[in-house]
Amino acid sequence: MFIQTIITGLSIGSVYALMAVGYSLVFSVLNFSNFAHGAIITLGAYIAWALMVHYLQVPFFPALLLSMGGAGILAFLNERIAYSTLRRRRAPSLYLMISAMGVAISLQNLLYATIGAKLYALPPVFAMDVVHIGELTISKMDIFAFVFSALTIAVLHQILIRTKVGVAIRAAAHDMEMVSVLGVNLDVLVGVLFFIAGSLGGMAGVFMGVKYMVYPSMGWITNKAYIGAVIGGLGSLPGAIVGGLLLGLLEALVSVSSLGGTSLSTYRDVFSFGILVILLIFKPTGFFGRHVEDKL
Amino acid sequence: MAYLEAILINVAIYAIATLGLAIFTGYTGLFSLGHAAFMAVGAYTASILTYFYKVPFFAALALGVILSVLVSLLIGYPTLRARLRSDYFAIATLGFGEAVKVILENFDLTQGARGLPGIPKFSTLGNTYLLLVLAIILCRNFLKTTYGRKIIAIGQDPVAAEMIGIPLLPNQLLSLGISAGLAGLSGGLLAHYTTFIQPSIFSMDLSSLVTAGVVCGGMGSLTGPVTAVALFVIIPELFRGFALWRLVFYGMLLVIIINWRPKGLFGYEELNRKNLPKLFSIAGITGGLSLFMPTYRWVIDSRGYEMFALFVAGGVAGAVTVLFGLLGKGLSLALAPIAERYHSLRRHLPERAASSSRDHGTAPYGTARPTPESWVPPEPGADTKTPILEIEDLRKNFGGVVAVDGLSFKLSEGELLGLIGPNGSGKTTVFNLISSVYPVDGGTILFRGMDITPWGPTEVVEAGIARTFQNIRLFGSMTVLENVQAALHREGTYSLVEGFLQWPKTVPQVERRLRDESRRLLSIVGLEEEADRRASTLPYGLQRKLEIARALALRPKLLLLDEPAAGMNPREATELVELIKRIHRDEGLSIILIEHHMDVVMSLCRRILVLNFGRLIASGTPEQIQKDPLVLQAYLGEKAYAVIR
Amino acid sequence: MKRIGTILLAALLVWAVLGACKPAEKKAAAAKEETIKIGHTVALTGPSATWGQSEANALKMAIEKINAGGGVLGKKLEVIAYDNRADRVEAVNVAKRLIEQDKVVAIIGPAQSGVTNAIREVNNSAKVPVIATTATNPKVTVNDDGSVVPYTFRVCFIDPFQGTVAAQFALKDLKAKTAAVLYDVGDDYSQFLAKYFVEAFTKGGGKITANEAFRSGELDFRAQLGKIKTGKPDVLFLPTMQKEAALAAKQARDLGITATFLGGDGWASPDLIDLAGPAMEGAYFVNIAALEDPAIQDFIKEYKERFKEDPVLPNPLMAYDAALWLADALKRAGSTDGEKLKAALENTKDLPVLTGKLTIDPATHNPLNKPATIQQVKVKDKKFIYVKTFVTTD
Repeated sequence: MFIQTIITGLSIGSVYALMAVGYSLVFSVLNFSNFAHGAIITLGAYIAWALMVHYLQVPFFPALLLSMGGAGILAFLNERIAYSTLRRRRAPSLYLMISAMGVAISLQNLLYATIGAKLYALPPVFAMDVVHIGELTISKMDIFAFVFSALTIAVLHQILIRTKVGVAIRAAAHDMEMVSVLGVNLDVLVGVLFFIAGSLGGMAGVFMGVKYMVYPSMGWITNKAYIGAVIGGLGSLPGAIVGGLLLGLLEALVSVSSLGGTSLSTYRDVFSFGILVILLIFKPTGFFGRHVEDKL
Repeated sequence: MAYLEAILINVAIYAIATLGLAIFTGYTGLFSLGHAAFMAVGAYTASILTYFYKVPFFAALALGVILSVLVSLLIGYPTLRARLRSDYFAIATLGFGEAVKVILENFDLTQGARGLPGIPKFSTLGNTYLLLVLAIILCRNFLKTTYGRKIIAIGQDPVAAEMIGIPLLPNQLLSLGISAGLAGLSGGLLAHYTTFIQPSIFSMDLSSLVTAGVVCGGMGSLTGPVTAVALFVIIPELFRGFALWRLVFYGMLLVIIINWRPKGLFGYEELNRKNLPKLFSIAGITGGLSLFMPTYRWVIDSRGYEMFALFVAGGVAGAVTVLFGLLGKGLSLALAPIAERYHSLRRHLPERAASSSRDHGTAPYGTARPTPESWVPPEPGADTKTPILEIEDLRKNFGGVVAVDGLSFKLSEGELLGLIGPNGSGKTTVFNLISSVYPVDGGTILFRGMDITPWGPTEVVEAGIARTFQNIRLFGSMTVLENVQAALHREGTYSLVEGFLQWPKTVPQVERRLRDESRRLLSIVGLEEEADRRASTLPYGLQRKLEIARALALRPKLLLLDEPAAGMNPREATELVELIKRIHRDEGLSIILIEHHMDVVMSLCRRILVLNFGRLIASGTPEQIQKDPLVLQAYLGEKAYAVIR
Repeated sequence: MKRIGTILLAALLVWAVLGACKPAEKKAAAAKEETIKIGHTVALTGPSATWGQSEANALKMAIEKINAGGGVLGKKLEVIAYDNRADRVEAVNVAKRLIEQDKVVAIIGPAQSGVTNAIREVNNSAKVPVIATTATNPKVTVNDDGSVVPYTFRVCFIDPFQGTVAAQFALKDLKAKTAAVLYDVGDDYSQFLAKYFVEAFTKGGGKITANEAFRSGELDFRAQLGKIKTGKPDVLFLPTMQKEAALAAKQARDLGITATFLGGDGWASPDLIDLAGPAMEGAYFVNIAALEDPAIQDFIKEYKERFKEDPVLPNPLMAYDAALWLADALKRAGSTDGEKLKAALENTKDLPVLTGKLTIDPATHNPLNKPATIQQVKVKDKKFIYVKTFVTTD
């Protein structure tokens, strides 16, 4: 059972990791926590639903790509509307975070109010859903998601290292002002950044929708993914992946443990949020993050 | 009208919670996204007491408040002590909020997640509004005391607050405690009104509602958040059946306000004659909107044309709004002469009272002042030639950069020392090390014979060192007078309870004394005319003067001035030189002056130290410095120096 | 820049106002005659909406029939329905609105035990009877000390019975020796149904290998299911609503759990099949009524003609029966007074309703002689089929 729990933990953790990358990407350049990311992830799932079930019968893979693109565009618009003014004004990161919260609340409840709280399932992607290895079972969807995410992140890594845009993003992560002084159009750069983060989020949303189901408060899970990003260190992409996986593992282990006879599964979230608070107090930079101080 | 009563009670309950958050977030500047947790603690405590143990209502509420305060201190201590940056702190509070919710879900006594029904309905229109009014009065009183000013100062600029001797942690905890207590009260009232509570009520949505109220109402005001929350409760009721759209509305409002009108409804202001029209307009819009639906339906019922009904209803709504707006303006104009008379009366009253009372009078500053307990006076018979400040082998690194590299010097008592050097030579860092903005990496700092190297910023202030900043750090939302008053916080000698009640026997006298002393300090720098202006509206040169006045309020023995003449034109610089000469002479201060304006430095200082790359490269009189080759090299660069040599 | 803010604010206000105009009821032809108002608190949106909307439809049918037959006490009945979203807090608001503003004489619904519990204080202090449709938790009508909740009634069976039925079915028909349970700790219904199942199963000689719980709103049960798997249970009892049951079933099969799935009436929504897919093939659940029951075929035909789809059982039946019961009680009480109505409701014997004859136990406000049916999920055929019937004995 222990190994199966580990596998379960990694499976949940990979979802967290994928979402956490979106958070860290934005944080690395703009230095704020984009709470609207959860809403983008949810919308990614709904786009897939609209394409695959509700309006058309688009097969999975094209739907996945379209959802990623759609989510990317939504993230781009989100930045334009809710963050760009503050960013230009060099507002403190707290203001950006509040704006993000406002977007998150609006979008989630917009879904409730329009499409409604009904649950939807995305059609299963693989006919025979699991692979058996001895006593252990691994879901095919998990394997696919894992491979596809890894590929995408590898592509992202290459983009960051080799292309001009990537270099500009990495430079901006160190010093936004300098980058703009050097002639890079910050608006375009940030727009591209959000598009990328949004697409990753959309992908996570589609995978979540297939694994579980599609409904408006999916975004709540992204709070957990955020904890993963903090564990790994906000602003660090490898950190986000490690943090997300680690959190998934921890949660799975806590869920099957007991303390003095009572099962801890319903206390699991106390652990997760407790870790968040403790980390923020004692090591806000997590494992891999950087520390940014203001000049006094 | 039971329905109207329900709305009003809801307004009062949420307003109390918002008042609490306004103190914490609006004034102290710490964003809490998990305040619903305190409401939950208050609600559950009070409900358990009344439901299971039949405790009387007000006692149960009081215990709920106490427990909320205790929980907040438990949560607040580690979090505030960690000095997190503001968004990390906000997220930590979010984490706490969720954790508390999960704990309550597992709490069997109250049936956990399934909730506790059947709570006796003790909250009435009467007692909720009584408590609301009481809360408003207490909060307003609190903000007018020294304790309130300390909290506002922290909210405006925590670094500057520490630099005038306000310790962050205890004051932030105080603010948190008050706000948690109010939230707990609100929770208890809520539970005894809805008669049913479950942990999921105290969700992030609830915290967001209250936070949105503070942000949209105006951080720095009490009227603003209360009005905003009232609107948040009332307006969705007008469009009933749209509970879900309500949250969409809040979210969008939050985005709009924080992007384009971060001051919110009322900014830093409370309700006064000038913004009375604003309040009336808001009431008018609300009234207009509430008449919109019934008018619309009435027209539909009698005529049936949707567009026509829309127009008529819109017209009625608009008319009501305009009417109220005009009413407000009219009232404000009518009250103008009355207000004038009232204000002039208030201004004359203290003068009349002062002339008939026995005050400290205008004793020379530095003599009859209360001594802070932690300061130890130097040994009697100490050599007056002992240097007041001794720096020995001071070092500081930032990552790989060496900012101060083994600096040593002495300052004699009463000396006016200049500290110059090219940009980045470490001058401000030296000040920061002395005033303990960050710890030293090596060396010692001796002040009046005491080793203050390990001391914290507030202890350094109490020992008698005050400073000003290179980039001015004033408390922008406070008035000029209040900025100086804030620095006199150690002389506000009434207790917190007396402050809450504005206890007539002690508080007004102490406040008057502080005001008078502040005015005196302002007159030293020539700012007494601007006493009631908001500090952020002062022109640059006057802001610098205010900083100096504020530093003087700390009764320092040593004053560190960091580029006071920066950005001044020659006339202003001359005035500044006169001012510094005056305070050096009249108040008997030792002063270290960092400056780039050479004429200022040369005319004020008889001894000047020159730094470069964190090291002392020259020391001497102005004439000696001006000719020193090392100094010239440092300023001009080696190549240029070689040219002019 | 500031103007943009003001313009946006104004636009927001206008949009909010216009948005609110949409459902302006065209009450142009509102009847001016006096009616007896009956409240309906029901989940019209949210995960329970499939049942709720069907319930509302059936209630409408029932009231129209009653009114066509002359109404009650010389007046027509009028139903005022509000959406409670199966949310406890919303239900409290709805109950207050129905009682204080709309002045209803009785309320039909809610359909969930937790929700009915939540509004207990509201309707009892106002002395307005509530007839829950499918709230099966015993505490809904009976307090811990055995006393009855004066103004709350129900028209369905209770969970101790349902739990016993499930356990006996598992033991006798499925020949199960071991069972595991996974329940929702945040739901009255789920928590207690699990408890009754465990009691009955153990009493009947079976062994419970695992009793796991999750937090409401959870999506991933694989950690708990992993634990359950090690005990190799014959049956996995999932006393939850259809969403969680579907997810749990899918994940259980993914993990290689071969146990037969068993559930309660919370599964009975048709979207269970969509959500769960092949994982639920051949699973069983207890329900209050089945589509194949011969006694209700007329009702089903009428419903289908009117609303063009099958009713989502059991709620519409329960609401219909509740309406018949209420009308009868009003006639016998001779007035709309709360106390008299309560007494009349309590003293109902052998009243013919759709699901048989209704007799109420005045000590518990619960119906006696209520049947339970076992249904099986046929994913390929996209339907539930009828297996057998149990009847209450006490």
